[in-house]
Amino acid sequence: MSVDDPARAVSGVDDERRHPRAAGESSARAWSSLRERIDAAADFGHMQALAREVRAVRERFGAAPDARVLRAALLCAGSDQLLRGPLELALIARGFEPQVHSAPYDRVVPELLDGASSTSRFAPELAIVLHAWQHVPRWPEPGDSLDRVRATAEEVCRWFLEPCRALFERCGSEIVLANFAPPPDRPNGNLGAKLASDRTNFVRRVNVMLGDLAPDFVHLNDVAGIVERRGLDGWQDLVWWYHAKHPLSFEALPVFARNTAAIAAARFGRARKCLVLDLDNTLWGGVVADDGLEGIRLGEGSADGEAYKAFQKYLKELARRGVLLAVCSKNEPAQARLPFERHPECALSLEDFAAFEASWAPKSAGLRAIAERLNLGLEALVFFDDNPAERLEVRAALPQVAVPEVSREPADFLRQLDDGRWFETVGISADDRARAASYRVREAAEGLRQAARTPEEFLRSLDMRARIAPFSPEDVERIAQLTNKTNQFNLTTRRTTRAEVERRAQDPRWLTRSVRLSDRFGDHGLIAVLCARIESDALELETWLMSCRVMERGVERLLLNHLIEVARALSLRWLRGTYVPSERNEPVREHYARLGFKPAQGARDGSPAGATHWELDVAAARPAHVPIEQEG
Amino acid sequence: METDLLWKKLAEVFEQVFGEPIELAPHTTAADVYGWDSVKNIELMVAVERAFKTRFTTAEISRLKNVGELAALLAPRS
Repeated sequence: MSVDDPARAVSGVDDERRHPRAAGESSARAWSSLRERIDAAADFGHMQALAREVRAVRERFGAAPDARVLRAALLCAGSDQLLRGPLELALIARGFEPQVHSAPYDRVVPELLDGASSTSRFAPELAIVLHAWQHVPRWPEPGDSLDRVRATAEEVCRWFLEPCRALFERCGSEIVLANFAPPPDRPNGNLGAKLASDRTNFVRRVNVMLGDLAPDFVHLNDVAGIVERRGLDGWQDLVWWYHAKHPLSFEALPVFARNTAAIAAARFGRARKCLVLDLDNTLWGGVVADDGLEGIRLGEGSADGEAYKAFQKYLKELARRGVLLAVCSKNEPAQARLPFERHPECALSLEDFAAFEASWAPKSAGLRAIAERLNLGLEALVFFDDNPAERLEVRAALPQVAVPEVSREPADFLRQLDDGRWFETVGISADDRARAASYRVREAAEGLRQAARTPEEFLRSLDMRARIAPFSPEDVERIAQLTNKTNQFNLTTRRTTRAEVERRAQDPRWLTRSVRLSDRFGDHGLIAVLCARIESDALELETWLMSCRVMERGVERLLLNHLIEVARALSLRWLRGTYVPSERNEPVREHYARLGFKPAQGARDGSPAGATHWELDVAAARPAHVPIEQEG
Repeated sequence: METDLLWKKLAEVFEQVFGEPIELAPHTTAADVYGWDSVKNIELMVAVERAFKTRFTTAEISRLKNVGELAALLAPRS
């Protein structure tokens, strides 16, 4: 079956009846092909045609198996009629099943402020807000002093930000707020660049100030950045603005929609985490095994060598902010490592990679091995390879992996990767910056595990130290991030906002705990989160999640010992927990059973499908020995 | 462009926008075609502009009453 043709995937009916597994695969293929084409759609017309295909695939296969429902409100200056369809498609392409509420025509600010508005009643998880420069409420007067203009800019920013705060405080909705494309006219000409009161200049000032003033729950949709890249002329079509108040041109609609969806993906744990790179003709020019270390083109000395080096530097920036880099190359391992060890112009070093696969196996096998080693799902990977045959092989074998097109021109590589917005993030924590190092350490620990005679001996050899503490203000960012990104070791997959995390930390009815872990290789940072409701006779464990980096280290036993202590101190008889199955958390299905919990009697009201309930009698529980030293 | 050719090209654009063939006559209006709402109208106008490599003015779009007037607008430009 052709991978690129969902219409044919749709027609393979008989096969599917006979082979249910094949049905699952063709559904995954049909959705992945659609997602790719939504990512490539150039204008509104293409998006409309794709919307028809989405309907056909949905009728045939149902929603994408891995999709997450997202309740989003769309609040748009002027008319949102044209924007809504492309936005829904772009969200679908990022793995969401969107439920979009359209705010009434041209009522952005009142909808956000009013507790009885349709938007407030809908209580969206995410409010997507798009203003246009035509809605800037105040402009500087000609001749205003710089201080005066600054004050006006701040006033304008608050005028746009305060309504966001109102909705957030009422409904907990986070906001994706677009900043501004400047007006199309320059009545002051070049002098405008020197005049504080010039409108274009003023919009620039407002955009910078929005970034300075936006609180955590406002994620800026960088329209100004898109316009810098694509040009202002194609952004708004004034004919259609005058006709029907459509704020974006046909070409701008998909771009804006995809940019918005990328932010939603970052916020709700759907962004990709790991970039898997080919080597020859991707990170340098030429083939190291054929051309030798001196023969490859990298850095000063050749034009494309400079382009490859610039690409490497860009990748290094990605790694610095927490994107995992991995290599998947058809090469002898020693040859593949050589440029990183010996080439003077190589910007990347072996330490920048969390995994390094060099072999002659198909690339899809290499990608599987990388995902397994890093404990990531395939849907966390992006594969970047200059060779179209390799891209084809991976697309066919692993539809979950994102495979961007790559041109033959290395100078274009960074843009092609950048345009995909695969690795968006809504905040950078200290843990992000140390991520690659932490994964490398895991590899070293793996070596210890193989050397140890028993699991116990291995754990002891790690010299682990843990600190269990209630949520603290400086950890709120990381905790909220973990609740939204952790998929595997996550018993209930309950996502929380920063605000919820803060509320729970202060609520005496909740027990909150985070765990930091370090070992002989270094500091893993905050790796486990637990929230429990304190009931009359029990601790009800509502959230229990751990970073996959520290699975099988005994941390869950350590936490259990701690919970037993707490329950005894509070004279509570039971620990109760729930497992809610998701697409990804199969590994913890037996988590509570492994810790000695017994199945609890009877289903509970409102508990999700397939959920299992567990309880542990605190009086009868014996703390197990765990080779982790507890600090603090 | 000859009239027949123009109507043929117009029919192609309509089919592309509506996802199915649409029977067109000079007196056809939005009310006669299922799904021809204000959003479709914009999509249609932009698709026609592209197919005929022309650009309508704000006033021209406002004045259009039926497909015949659209064809008349296009005839001298194509």
